[in-house]
Amino acid sequence: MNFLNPLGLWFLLFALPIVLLYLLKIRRKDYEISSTMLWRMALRDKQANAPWQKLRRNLLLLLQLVILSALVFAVARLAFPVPAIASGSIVLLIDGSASMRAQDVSPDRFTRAIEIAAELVRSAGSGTTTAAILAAGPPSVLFSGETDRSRAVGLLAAAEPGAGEADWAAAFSLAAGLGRQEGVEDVTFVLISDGGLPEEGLPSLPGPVEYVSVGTAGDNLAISALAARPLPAGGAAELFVRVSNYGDAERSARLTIIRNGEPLFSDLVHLRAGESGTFVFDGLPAEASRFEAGLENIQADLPLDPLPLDDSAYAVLSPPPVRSVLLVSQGNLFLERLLLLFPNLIASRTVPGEDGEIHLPAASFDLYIFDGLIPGGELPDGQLLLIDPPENPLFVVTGSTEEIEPLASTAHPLGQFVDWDPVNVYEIRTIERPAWGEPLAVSGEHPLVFIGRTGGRRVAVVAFDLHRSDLPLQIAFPILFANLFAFLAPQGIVPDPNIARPGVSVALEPPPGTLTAEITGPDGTLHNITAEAGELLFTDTARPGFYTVRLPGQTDAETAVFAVNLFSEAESRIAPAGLIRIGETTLETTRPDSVSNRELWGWLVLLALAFLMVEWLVYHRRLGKPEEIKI
Amino acid sequence: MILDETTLRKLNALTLVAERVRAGRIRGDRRSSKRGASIEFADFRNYVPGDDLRRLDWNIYARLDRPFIRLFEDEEDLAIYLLLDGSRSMDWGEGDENKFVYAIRLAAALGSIALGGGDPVRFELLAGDPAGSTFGPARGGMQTMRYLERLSGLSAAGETALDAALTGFAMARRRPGLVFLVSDLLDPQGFRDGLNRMLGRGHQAVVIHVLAPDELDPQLTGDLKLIDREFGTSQEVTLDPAVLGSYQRHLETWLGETEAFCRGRGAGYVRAATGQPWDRFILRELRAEGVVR
Repeated sequence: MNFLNPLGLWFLLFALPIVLLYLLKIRRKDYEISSTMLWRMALRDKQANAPWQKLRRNLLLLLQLVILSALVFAVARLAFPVPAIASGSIVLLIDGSASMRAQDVSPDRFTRAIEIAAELVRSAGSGTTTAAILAAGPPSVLFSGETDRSRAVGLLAAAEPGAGEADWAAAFSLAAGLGRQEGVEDVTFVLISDGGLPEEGLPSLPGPVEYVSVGTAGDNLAISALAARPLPAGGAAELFVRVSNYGDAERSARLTIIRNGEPLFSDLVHLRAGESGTFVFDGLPAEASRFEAGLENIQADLPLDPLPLDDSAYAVLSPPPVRSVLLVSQGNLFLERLLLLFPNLIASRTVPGEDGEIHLPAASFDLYIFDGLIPGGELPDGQLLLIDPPENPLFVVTGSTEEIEPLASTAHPLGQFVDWDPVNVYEIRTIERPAWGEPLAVSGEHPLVFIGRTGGRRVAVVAFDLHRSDLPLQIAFPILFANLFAFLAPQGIVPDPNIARPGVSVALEPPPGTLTAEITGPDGTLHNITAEAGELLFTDTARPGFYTVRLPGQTDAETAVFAVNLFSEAESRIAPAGLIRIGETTLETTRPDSVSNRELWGWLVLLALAFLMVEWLVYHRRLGKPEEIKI
Repeated sequence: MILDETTLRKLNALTLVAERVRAGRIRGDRRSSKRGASIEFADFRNYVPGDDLRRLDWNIYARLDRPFIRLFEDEEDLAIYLLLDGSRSMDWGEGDENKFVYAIRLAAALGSIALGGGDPVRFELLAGDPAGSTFGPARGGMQTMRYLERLSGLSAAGETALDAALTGFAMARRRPGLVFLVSDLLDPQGFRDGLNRMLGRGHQAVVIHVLAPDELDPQLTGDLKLIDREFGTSQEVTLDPAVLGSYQRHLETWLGETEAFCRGRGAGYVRAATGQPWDRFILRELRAEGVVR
């Protein structure tokens, strides 16, 4: 027990005026008696300490002195030492990933982590600051540079865990930034987690790192994969299920699969420690379906394992929609043959008239491919693929060049796996790449292939004439155009309805011109989202399950569905890690070895208030009973 | 009227008793312990109202035209002195429990008994109004009403120095007698020297110690400034169980020491708590003490 501000104890001197005032203020009631002789005799042996005798058993004065003492001790910052993990400023990194929802500690690991964090905040040394980062999906800063312990604890209590993987790299970067903000000299990073951090790719932290492990059990069964797809042969579909035992003991469970609300399969599965079992159901109708797989304990009234989150999985079977394509070209055999290879693309072709004018059909198409041509006037509604484009309203074409520098892919995902090394191009259009254009391949400074969204539509541009290159003869040709068609003619509103993960945003691909969508979550919550920068992004994917997307004007039958699943071995492998590696450093679970001061001023102020109330009551009770003074 | 007819009749049946005082000079109603002729003439003295007319010497009256009473050796009277504390401390208590009222009634009763028995009675109010503070000496039952009237006009006022008052009494009243001191004895200067001097003069004394119930068992609480009714001095006190306990202990000690002092010097001591009826006090407590028979 010590005082962090001992100078505050000088305020105890206020007790003297209180006592003096009290001595002076004692209002004695005059009372006439026959003689004071006997009273003087009775008080004779008490005369030596007569002033203090007046104060004896005086409850009001006692209460006032207690109140003063409590307030003075609060000002003097009475504290008692407690063992602590860190003694200086603290940056807390709290694991909010799915595995922290495991209930092997009561009530769950995340709550326990928050309790530990709150304890650390409360025991943080005086004059130090605290910061906390919640690593649940994208990391978020709960508070930083905080000196108000109560507020920090309140913010911690309001934190909620995620249902997916944590972005530890981003969390560490954020922590490093906060650590520098707090002051490198005296900041300790405390990681409260059950492990499961990536072994590589984490940035170093500018200060000592302590690791507090949470959790006890590693026993967990999970549905680690559930996928449905139409078979290439057509007319049928198959469902793939994988169940994994991440625990150290053999486990049995009941696997149940439901298709469109109807039971499809239910049986016991037995898995040895670390084993995975796969199930394939083929011959399923290739119509739109929802599949739901679940694991249950054989004893139905008992929980299967500490982490229920991965005991269910969801899959959507959605046959690819048919897209109409109009090829406007003087004739391009390569493209025509290529389009025939995509079963969901129904291609038509038109050629310019004898006057050179392009007469587009009245019917609208999902995708227009202009090969070396651009129609006059406004461009039609729909996605656009421009090959060897002349001047047009979308971007500036400055001319063409035959000085071809080496062709190369960019880091864009759609340009991956396209090998440009063997490709030769005789001439390319020199184009000033618009702001919306993302290059997939370049030739020196000139964009060779780029894509982007403009005016509510998707546009892809190939800056050279296919006939004046050997690209159609290379393996890169079908790969490049398959990627471009995937971009220009997406499978549906949700490009892939089965890849969404909790906490990861889903990009919707509505028809051009659609700016809003209504999404119903698994719990029935309605989310209305609006396009930003031409994209409809849905971010609230915290809960695994089915999400229904309805565009304006759509009926129930036209809605699209996508599924959100955990499917993370790192999260399902819930055994808490005793050791974790951060870069070259291996961390063990920390035991408190520092000493911190836990201040009691809050309690002291409460105590003073409580005694103030008691004093008030006592005072008024005395005033209310003057007759007690009478004989 | 202090005493009613019924009470007076009861009191007339009583007699005051003094064991040690035998200094009677004239005939009285009490039987003498001395031996000798029973009708032997001793002396004359002036007639005073209330004397038995049968002892009036009519011859001398006829000759001198002045009344004289014949005195005989074999019968004696007993001088009764009633000393009543008239300090303001005695004016304490409500109604019948008022110490002065109680003391007046005791004095009235004792005086009535004495007058009825033919003993000369001298009443003195110690302190108080000096003009009307004495009565007597008087003798005979005829004086009773006058005596009672005198008592009924008295009040307790002023201060009393018991020591000085008793000393003064001892010096002034040389004829030994039975002295009743009715007082609360609440005098910081005490009363012992005065009592000693009085006893030294051959008086037999009976101290009737009058105290009010709230003096014996005070029911006070809180922070009080106690003001002395008699002297006007004050004493601040925070009354708690410890202080009250101390008061009780000192009270018991004081009462015990006072009684021991009185009895040690052959004086009677009777404690009169004004909570009990005064006539019962006379009939029981004084009888038990052997003062009244």
